[in-house]
Amino acid sequence: MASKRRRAKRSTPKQQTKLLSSIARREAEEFEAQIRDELAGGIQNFAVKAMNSLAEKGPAWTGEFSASWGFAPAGRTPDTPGTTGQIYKYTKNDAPIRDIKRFLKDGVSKFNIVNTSSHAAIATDQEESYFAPPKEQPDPIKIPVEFGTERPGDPHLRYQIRYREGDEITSQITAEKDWFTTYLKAGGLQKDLTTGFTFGREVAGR
Amino acid sequence: MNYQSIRAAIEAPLLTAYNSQVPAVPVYFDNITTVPPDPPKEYVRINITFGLTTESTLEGSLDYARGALIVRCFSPKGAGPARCQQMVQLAKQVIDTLNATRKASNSTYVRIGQISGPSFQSSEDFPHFIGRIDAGWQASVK
Repeated sequence: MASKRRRAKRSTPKQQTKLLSSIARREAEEFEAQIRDELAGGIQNFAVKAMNSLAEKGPAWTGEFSASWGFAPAGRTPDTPGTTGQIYKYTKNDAPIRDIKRFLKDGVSKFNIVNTSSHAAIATDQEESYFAPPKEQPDPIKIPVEFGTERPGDPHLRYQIRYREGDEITSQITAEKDWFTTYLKAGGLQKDLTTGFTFGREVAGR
Repeated sequence: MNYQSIRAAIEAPLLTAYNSQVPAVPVYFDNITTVPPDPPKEYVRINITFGLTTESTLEGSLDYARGALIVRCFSPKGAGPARCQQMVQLAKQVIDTLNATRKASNSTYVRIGQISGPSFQSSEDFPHFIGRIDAGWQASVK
């Protein structure tokens, strides 16, 4: 009895093209997802690192300004911790990776780190104002970087304090002059960016 | 790394430019005075800050200092922005000249990066109209 051999049905050139294109599409999607994961990891690490640097380098009297940094896609106002009593320590929960991946998938290409405090421009030495320690907290939570005996009567920049020998110390600043611009332009931000992305790549590579 | 030569390389041409104005525009640098004792009608504050002194690169650690330059121009209030903008423009021209200066073999070499601003500020009770620009700089000393 002659055995019946089943012969594999050869696919037509049209079917082969369709199969190959679906494999290529799937691989492209996987590659895109992998890139997105790595990018999201880098963005998250950088965001946390940068917000901690800003909180540490910036002024801190009650701690409210340090806890007002937030990370969000451009055009959105971030939720910020807004706590007082300490220099806030940012964690990955303040820039959730799931959200970053989702935004990247939706085509968001720009993220912002912003400070939502009402006096952000004054604290970053962009605007002049009048300064007085809050009555409920006469001493800052951060060790001052400079002491002074008086401030000008006119509106002035945060760091403009005068010191006169023998007079009582009445004013103090808790961040260096132009600390924000220095962080942005003098290598601090670039360093955090490099570290954040290197770390992100290592984590993604595990 | 010679910090003083870097500071001088940036400050000196700015001081020369503002001093050459008629009348000369007073310039206040770091550690001269925090606030001019009796603020003149117009003046300039120039702050130079340092960020990194050495930088790790693929070739190793290089002696490239980095920092920021912040120029604030204070002009009479209530007279329009023209004078303030002229003062800011002067700083911008000095930066352009500095960036076009060729690298000499035995000098401090400074390059100033992207300039942010000018941003202007004039609130109700402020005595001046203020224009501000800032930029990062990178320097190497031979």
